Amino acid sequence: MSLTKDVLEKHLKDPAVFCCRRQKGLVISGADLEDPDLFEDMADAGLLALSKEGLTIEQVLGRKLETDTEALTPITAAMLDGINAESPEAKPESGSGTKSASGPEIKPEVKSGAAAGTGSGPASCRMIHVAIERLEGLKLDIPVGMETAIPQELTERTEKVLRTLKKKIFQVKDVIIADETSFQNGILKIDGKILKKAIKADPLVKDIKMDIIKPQQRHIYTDTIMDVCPIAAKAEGKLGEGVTNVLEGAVFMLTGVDEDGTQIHEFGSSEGFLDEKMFFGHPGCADPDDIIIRVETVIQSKTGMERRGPFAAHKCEDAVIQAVRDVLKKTAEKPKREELCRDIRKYGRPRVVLVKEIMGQGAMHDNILCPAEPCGVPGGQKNVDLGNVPLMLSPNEVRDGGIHALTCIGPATKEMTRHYFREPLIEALAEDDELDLMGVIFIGSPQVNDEKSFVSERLGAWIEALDAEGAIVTTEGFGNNHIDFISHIGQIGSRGIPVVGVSFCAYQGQLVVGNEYADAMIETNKDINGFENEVAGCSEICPNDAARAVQMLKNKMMGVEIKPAARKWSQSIIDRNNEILGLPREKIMDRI
Amino acid sequence: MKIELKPILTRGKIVQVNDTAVKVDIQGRLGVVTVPRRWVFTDVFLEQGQKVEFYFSYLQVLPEGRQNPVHKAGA
Repeated sequence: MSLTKDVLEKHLKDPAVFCCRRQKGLVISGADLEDPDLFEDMADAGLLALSKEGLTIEQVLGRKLETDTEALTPITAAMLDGINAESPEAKPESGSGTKSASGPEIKPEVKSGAAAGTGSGPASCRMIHVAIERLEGLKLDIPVGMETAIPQELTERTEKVLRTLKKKIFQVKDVIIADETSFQNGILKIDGKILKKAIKADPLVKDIKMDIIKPQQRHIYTDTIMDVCPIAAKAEGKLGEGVTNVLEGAVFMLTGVDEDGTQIHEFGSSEGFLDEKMFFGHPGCADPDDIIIRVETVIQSKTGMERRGPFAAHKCEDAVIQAVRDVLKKTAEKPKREELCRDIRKYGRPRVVLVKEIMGQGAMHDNILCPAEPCGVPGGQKNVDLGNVPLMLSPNEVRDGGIHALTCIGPATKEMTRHYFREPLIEALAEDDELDLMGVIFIGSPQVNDEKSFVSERLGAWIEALDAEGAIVTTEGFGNNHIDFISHIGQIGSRGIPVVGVSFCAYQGQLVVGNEYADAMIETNKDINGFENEVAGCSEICPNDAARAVQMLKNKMMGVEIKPAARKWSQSIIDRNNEILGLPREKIMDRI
Repeated sequence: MKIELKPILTRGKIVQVNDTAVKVDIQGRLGVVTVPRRWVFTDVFLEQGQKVEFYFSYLQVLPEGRQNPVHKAGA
């Protein structure tokens, strides 16, 4: 592959290697040289060995070749009639390199499947960059009133509160299975008889059990962890506004097998000892001190791989949770604290959108949107049934349990119901005073490529209609959903809107496609070897990932140069980015 | 002895499709592999009888020290 002029200019300091066999007498041009971006791949494949005596591209351009030379051979002085002088190293534009005045430079952590270009901010970012290398005797005459050229409503930082949600947090001290359901003095009692009623929620569920797992009792066998669900109930108003009562210190965990003993989440299932199979403290998981209320379901034989089977398990678990919600709604207990969540239009700041790609290929690759109760099942719609088309939720609707995850198959990378209840990216974007988070778009990932294109193009139309000025796109899991994930980034980027991608890729989930807009990516892996490690919630989006994604989006919107990602996943880049932002070092799942 | 595993492009036939997975007979009667639907790239709806291709290699048993890893969250 020969070099184009643009590529050539980027690589003047890189090694010069002939792309094809060349004969004596040739005057070397870019057309004769191999693309340095491919050197690592070629070296890995044993096709190329770079030489210490090798010259750089700028040293050989225009020089005459004195001997016939084979393809993929580094060019040395002995082959040429002479060597060009090296130009001095390019100086950074300022003392801080490519850092912007507003934020630190962080490096992309995932390389997309196609060559990524360098990003630049769109005109809509209302930012003028001036770089002056030398300046002498400058005089400027600026007309009075020029500052009014920008409409005041666009520059004035005003706010409009659209809706407010109050979360009343109640601490749970203990959970007991008893003869009645109640919540008093921090003790949650759940009527054991509720199971008889809950099992009637769906005839596919043949057996249901419940037990309480205290934090110190977690070395206990569990069937595959289908979901972790917070306990929250609407006390006033509807989803996203009013008052929601939330229990802290206890969560529900759903597990399931079929009548033959086959794990419901057969692929990458997480059955085993609970203390080894969940990343406690991650957003979608139980916290280290949480009491876990485990609901174990047995569903009809051979329905574990059909949509109706796992869904039945979720329905029955929700019937149990609803009994607790009914008590929680009316509790006279004093809340431990209150949290205010507000949907705010922040005028005068860039309008951004969070796009969450959720699975939509079938059983378990499905979610329930906008249920009647926080994180509930009844009243909601499944994204598969809706054709996986993009749906807009307000940040508050999501934070109020607007998603009940039927959870995809990869334990480490799936986003469980509790994840959405405290999604770090929504928290980071909604609370960021420099950004106006317009909403959260949920878009399903269908099976067939044409359907992927269809929903992705609808997303592009949405983003365009919203006149968004920035977007973050996330996906859970890996596989063919990366096709639409990259397509979404393309739909947004091709409209001149800065976009950042967030995904597990690492080693096992490397991107299979790419485009020129996928140049700013955040890696969520937390496994030392970069694998789906079957530990529930291990590599989901965590607060550090969210902070890096928001900073990268701001950098891109500001026009800070996005350097190309490393060719291979490297935890050291992520660690360095965390360090630059002053974030705690990420805990990585090790193996002993 | 450690042998380098080299995946080769292999073919197979879909023998079962459900809401979660596809089951594929590996060409040459070399076994059966079942993968999640998310692992299948396709321009058409998945159906029994469709031919697929994928990279596949011989298998090597891991040494004893790597047989039973225990996970822990480390710094």
